[in-house]
Order: sequence, then C-alpha cells, then structure tokens
Amino acid sequence: MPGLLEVRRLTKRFGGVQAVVDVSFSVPPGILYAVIGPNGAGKTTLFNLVSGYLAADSGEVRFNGQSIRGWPAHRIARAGLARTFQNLELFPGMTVLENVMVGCDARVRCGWLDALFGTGRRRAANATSREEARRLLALFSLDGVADIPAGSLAYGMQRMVEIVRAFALRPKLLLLDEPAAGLNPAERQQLAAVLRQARAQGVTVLLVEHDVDLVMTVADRILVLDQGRVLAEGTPEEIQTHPAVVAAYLGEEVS
Amino acid sequence: MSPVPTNAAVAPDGPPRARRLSEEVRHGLGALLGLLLLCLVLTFLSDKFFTLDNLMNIARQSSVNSLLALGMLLTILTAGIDLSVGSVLALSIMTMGVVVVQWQWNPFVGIAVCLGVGTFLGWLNGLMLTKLRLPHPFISTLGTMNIARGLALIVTGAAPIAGFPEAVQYVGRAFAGPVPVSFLLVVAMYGLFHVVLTRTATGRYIYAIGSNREAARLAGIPVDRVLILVYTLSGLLAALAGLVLVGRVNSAYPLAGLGYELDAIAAVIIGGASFFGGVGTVWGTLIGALIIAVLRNGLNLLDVAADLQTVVIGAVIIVAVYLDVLRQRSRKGA
Repeated sequence: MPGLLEVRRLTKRFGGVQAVVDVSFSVPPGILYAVIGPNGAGKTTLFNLVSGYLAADSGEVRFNGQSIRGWPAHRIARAGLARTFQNLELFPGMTVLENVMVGCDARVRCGWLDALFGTGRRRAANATSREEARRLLALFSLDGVADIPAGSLAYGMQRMVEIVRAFALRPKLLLLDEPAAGLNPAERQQLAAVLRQARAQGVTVLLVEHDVDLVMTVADRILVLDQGRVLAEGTPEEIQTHPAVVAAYLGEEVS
Repeated sequence: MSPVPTNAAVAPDGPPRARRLSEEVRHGLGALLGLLLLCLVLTFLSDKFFTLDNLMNIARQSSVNSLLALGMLLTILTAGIDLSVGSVLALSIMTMGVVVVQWQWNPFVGIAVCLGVGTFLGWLNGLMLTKLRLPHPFISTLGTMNIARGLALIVTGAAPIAGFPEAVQYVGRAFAGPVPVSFLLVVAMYGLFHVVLTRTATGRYIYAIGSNREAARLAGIPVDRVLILVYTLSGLLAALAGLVLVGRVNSAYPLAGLGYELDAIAAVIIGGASFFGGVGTVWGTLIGALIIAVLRNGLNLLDVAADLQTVVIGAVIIVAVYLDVLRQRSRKGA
C-alpha cells in the first residue's frame, strides 16, 4: 500500500553542511509516525522539507499521491497537511474558541460577499464553525478554557490549543514539530493523550520529537536520524533493541 | 506574548461568558467614559453645547471622519495602515464632478463612478501590498496617496467643481427628522461591519492576520485575498465619505480630505485599537471619531483657535494610548 506521505531520497545542504542526506521513508495512513534523533540530526530540516517550507536540493516529497512542491502555505493546509511549530503560533488576542474556529472556517465555505450580505448562509456557516470548535475543545478536554484569550494561557495549554487548531483543519496528515518542548511532565502526559485522541479520530500524525520516552509510548513507527542520515526505522520495540541506535543514541545499557 | 509560567487561566473568576463580555465592555469603556466626561464638561462650559441642533451638528460633522476611520480600522486590525484615504476621497469626488457636472451624466451613474474609483484605488493598494510584495502598506498607500492627490489636481487643473444635482447631495445634506442622513449612514455601516467582524469567518480572518500573520497562513487563511478585500473596502468607504463631504459643502475640490487620514488613524487609536493589529472594535472606533468631533466642536464653541485645537487633539491621542498602556500593564502585572 502506498503511504499517505512518501519521501524519496531527500537531500538538503546548507553551504557545506549536509543537513539531510538521501532520506527515504513512507508514512502509511492512520498511524502515528515519529522522527527522533539527537540535536543537529536534521529533524527540523526534514520537517521543513516535508511541509514545503524548504525546497529540497534533490529527492521528492509526495503527499496523497501528488507532489506539493511550490504550493503556497494556505493551499497546502487546505489540501490536508497541517503543521505546528516549535515556537507557538497562536492568535494571542483571540479566545481559545476563536482560535479553533479559524481552523474550522477553512472548511466551511462562506465567501466574503456572503459575510457582507447573505445573512442566512453567513449565520449557518458561523454556527457550524462555533459548534465544531466547541465539540473539538470538548473532545480534547480543553472546553474549560474556551472563552479565555489564548495569549493568557499557560505555555503547555497554548501548545495543546495550537494542536487542536491544526486538528480543526481536518488534516489528512498532522505534522508536529517538537510538541513536547518546554512542557512539564504533567503536560507531557496530557500531550500524549491529545496525540492518541488525534490518531483515534483517524488523523495520520508525523511527529518530530526530542523526547524519546514520549515517542516510545505513543508512536507506531519510528525513524531515527543521525547526522542527516537514516540510522534505523521500525516499531518502538525494534528501535529500542536496534544495535546501531542503542550504540549511537539511546546509550548502552549498564549491566 | 510571553508564556505564563503558572496555570493562570485555569481558574477564571466567574463564568467564562460573563468574563469575556466584561473584557469587551472594559475595553471600550475607557473611551466611552472619556466621551461622556468631555460632553459633561462642555455642557457646563458652554450653554450652546448640549442642544439638539448642536448635537446633530456634531453627528453630521463627524460622519466623514467616521467613515474613513471604519476603513482605517479594518487595515489597522490586520496590522496595516491606509494613508491614502484622504487622497482617494479627493480623486473619487473630482471624477464624480467631471462626470456629473461637466458631462451632465445621470447623477446615479456619477455616484457609482465615485464609489467605483475609490474601490478601484483600494483594490490597487491591496494588490500592490500582496502581489508586488511591497514590505509594508505604509509604503504602498503612501504611493497611492501622492498619485491620487496629483490626479485629483490634474483632473480639472486644480479648479473646484460646484453645482451638484440634488441626488448626489442627498446623503451629505438631507435630514430624517432632526437626524442627518449621513449619520444614519454611519450607524448603518458600523452596524454592518460590527456583524462582519464579530460573527463571520472573514472577520475572524481579519483579526487573525493582525494577531499573527504566519499562524494565519498556516491555519489555511488565504491571507492575500483577505488583505486585498480589506484595502478595497477602505477605498470604498473613503469614496463614500467623499460623497458625504460633497453633499455637505456642495463642492468637490482637489484638496478635499487633505490630512484626513490622520484624524481617521487618531479615531481608531483613541477607540482602543492596537497599532500592531489584532485588537480593536467597531464601536470603539465610532466613539473615537465622536471624541474628535466633540472636541473640535467644543473648542470652536469656546473660541479656541484652530491651531490650538490641533495641539489639544495631539495631546488627547497620547493620553488615550498611554491610559491603554497603563491598563494593559496592570492586567499583565496582576
């Protein structure tokens, strides 16, 4: 079966530095796929290549059977590929509900002429977005903060809101860039629950993450990068016992 | 926005709906209190101030700036600005003057031409900003401001045009009972845009773009299209303001609207909008425009020289924004 995301022989250099070298992998639909690796392994570069933020020197990224090279960001988002950033990208002055509604709006077709004049369609569209946003916040246990300005939430909560907003786009593939960065242990558990919920809703997730423990508990398959190259690929069990990974990254067991 | 380290928002005081509402009310409250206080003081200082005639006079005088400020609010909400509104106003009405007075075309065609010119110039502003990728609307609209002003002068060789037909003058001149039609138009437009901004996806997009443009792109918002719409609407509202002005003074002159963009910006800022985008309301802006109109009217009644009035309005802008800064600081520190 062809993957939802197919990455073939992807290479990217910055000057003399080879950030990503000849990386290939395939993400089948419906799974939670994680990319791990030490700092400087090329995780974020790979992430930016896949989401169309950087152009590859060579190689190919195919999403849902087509190349997304050169598409503008909102077209990529509407095609079903949503991403979050290491740095938070929320609308701080708007409420949590409104933040998520913006994600829902992208799917509810209502032109600006409707917005200005067609009150019936406008009202229906607005109500649909609001209901959908409320439903999603409840699904991810964030309904308690729906009416609070996103910028005044605790950092970890803002991250969850960002993920839910990305989820509101109903993406086929959700790309998450180090979602656990800066979260405390309790928030990491909440994040793991959010990730499992996303997958339970049928969304494929590609996760780039530094936190190995989190990845081992939530991921279905793992790709290990080292100095821009693929070191290993497989299920968490396979990765945990993979000799090269153990030697290079997880550290040798003290016996 | 710096991250809050504790779970500050997990325990909101009172039910969220009420809290949200009070947030909105408090936001507009400062400007509203300022307006009421100003009216109270002027009522004591001048017995001519609080009369129906004078209040309606203020309503009429404020309409041009109110319409310009509404368009300005849209651009400022997206963290932009439209410096060209005064010049767009001038070119729109000069073109209408040529069509209606010199060519003797149907007045309604003239009104359509007036609104069409404004809309077209606004659309150009948006196009230059998004498609030419000029770095900031300050630049694109500064260019349009000069081009439109120059063209407005060229159209008639700098001569004013008078003698507009009744239909063209109606909006700016007529009264419905004691209330000027121009002010009813203002209220209608503000009502319309209140709904657009608070209850539609387009409105959310406008706030979202001003709040965080990158995040807006990633959330699937067609940022360029929304920006073009915003500047187009600003142009349309500027032409509408021009139509009101023509009715009031029964003349189109090429230097009409000179410097009006600054009063419009002042109204938006006094009304509590953030210059950095994403924050601001339609009603706050209307109050801001009314404060400026009441201030000018009151200073006139008190025989304060026009030059000094400008000084006072400058001071009011600074005080209003400073109060807003204080308010935000106290909220963050709490």
